[in-house]
Amino acid sequence: MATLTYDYGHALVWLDPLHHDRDPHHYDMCDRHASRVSPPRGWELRDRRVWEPPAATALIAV
Amino acid sequence: MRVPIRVAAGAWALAWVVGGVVLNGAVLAAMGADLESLTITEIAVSSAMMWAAFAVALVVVSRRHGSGDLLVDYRVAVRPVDLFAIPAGVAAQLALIPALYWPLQQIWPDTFSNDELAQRAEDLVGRASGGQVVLLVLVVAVGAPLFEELVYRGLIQRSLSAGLGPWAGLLVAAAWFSLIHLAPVEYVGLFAAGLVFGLGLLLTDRLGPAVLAHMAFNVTGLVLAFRAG
Repeated sequence: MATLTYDYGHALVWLDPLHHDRDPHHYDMCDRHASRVSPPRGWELRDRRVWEPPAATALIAV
Repeated sequence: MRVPIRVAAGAWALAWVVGGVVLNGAVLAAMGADLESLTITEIAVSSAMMWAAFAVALVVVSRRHGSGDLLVDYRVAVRPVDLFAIPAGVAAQLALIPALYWPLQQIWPDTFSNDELAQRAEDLVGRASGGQVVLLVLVVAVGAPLFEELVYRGLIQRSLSAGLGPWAGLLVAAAWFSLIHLAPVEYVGLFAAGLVFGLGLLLTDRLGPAVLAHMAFNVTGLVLAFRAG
């Protein structure tokens, strides 16, 4: 899940991890739609969703 | 060298108490170490105390029950074919451990989560910076595999195998090795790792494969922990 926000004046679109607060200017969407977001010409999309690799088992015999 | 089980167990216990408890306690207290969060330097010194005590025990047992030549008595030898143990150690870390813990994670997801399993490795890595990374690698990738394999495979497994048979010796030594790490969540994984290391000795009658597999296992664990960090 992701939340899209934008700044009209600076022609910026942000994609963030899902915001938990409700705001009519936040647009929540599923990952599939978030991955397909295409900003208008002249706008910049900044994807701030951080991908964290899944933790791996890591044993050290010391 | 054929060492009676009671002698091997006694030598191990004495070294463990002297090195792990007495020497460790004295040195770490002298360093003013906080036992809850040891630095890499303190961990290295602590490990060195333990290994020194084990080394003395190995020498004494070798002189009393063997030829006095450590290389011969503990089967310290390596041949090019022993390099097979390196991919075996890597595979144990990357495939065997996750496969063993997967069913446990389905039943007890919190207890056996990957975060819990990687905690000790990531704690170690998180404390290392700059030159301490080199020290950490020396302890984890060189010192621990060498000394632990001398003790748990070269001394204990061979002694158990002589008294109980090769397969029982392998199993009991792996369990011993696992339990002594005092980390319940790691018991299953370290038991399996101990079996892999011990198989190297069982199949070749040389300590080389066990040490190489242990090194590869630990280095892979370190790399995973560094990646996660």
